[in-house]
Amino acid sequence: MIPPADIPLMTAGDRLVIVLAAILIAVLYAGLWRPSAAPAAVEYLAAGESGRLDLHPDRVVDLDGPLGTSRVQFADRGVRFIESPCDGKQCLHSGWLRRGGDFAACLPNRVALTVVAADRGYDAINY
Amino acid sequence: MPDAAATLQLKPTRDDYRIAWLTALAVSLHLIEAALPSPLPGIKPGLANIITVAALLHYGFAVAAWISLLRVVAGGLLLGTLFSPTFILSLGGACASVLILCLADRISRRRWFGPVGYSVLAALAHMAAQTGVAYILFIPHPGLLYLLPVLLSAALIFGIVNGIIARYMLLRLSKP
Repeated sequence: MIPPADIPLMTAGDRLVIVLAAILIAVLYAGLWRPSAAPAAVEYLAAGESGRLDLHPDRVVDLDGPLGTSRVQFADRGVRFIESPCDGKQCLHSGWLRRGGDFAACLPNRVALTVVAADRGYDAINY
Repeated sequence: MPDAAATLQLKPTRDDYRIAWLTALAVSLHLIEAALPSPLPGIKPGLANIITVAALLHYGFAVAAWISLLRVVAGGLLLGTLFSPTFILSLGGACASVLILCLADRISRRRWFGPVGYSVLAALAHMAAQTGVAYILFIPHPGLLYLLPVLLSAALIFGIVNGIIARYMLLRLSKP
């Protein structure tokens, strides 16, 4: 048994344990909490024709449908409809699409946009 | 020839009484802790660990293992969680911490590690095993593993604090 006066607050072994534990925890944080890769592309559908557009660089792209031209804007790693020949303008109200799985469509003009990413996220969450 | 009844008589020593008291103390801490609200499921100070570590350094590994496992069973009986998932998690954690304390005791022979080292090792082993058991038996979802670093950080902090408390306890225990 250790004599009472001989109990140091921390021995070298104690410090080693703490340092190793801290390193292990840091490695776990780094390994498990990596941010998911940012979405890089948008899949589009325009009057039956489909393709893929990069989210970068910032620009405005025209997509033609049966009613006319839908104009979409790419900015700040996101995309949105800014002009549409349709009546309802649901596509404009969809706003910015930024995350994997985000989706907006103009049904009358048969134009749709989907953000593509490794992490598709959720369509909806219920509690 | 001594008669059978006389040979079976057990004389509790001073240490036996101390061990019983320490187990009772560990059970009390276990119960108090069960009543404390926790910010995150699984994060607890693990105060009963103080008793295990102090007993390990004062009386040796066997006593510490007894206290730790008796504490889980007695705590389960008193809380009404015996053989429930909570109990299984608790038992898994206790077994892992007892195992790592055994290993550390073999390596250190009570020279390399002090109370803080033992306490941190036990706390980390307890938390890691508990998360592992929870993952394998109850929630096999990778989301649970995201919690691991947070839980282990808490275990490290509480392990250090409990080790320091165990040291004070040892200083008091060693006084005649």
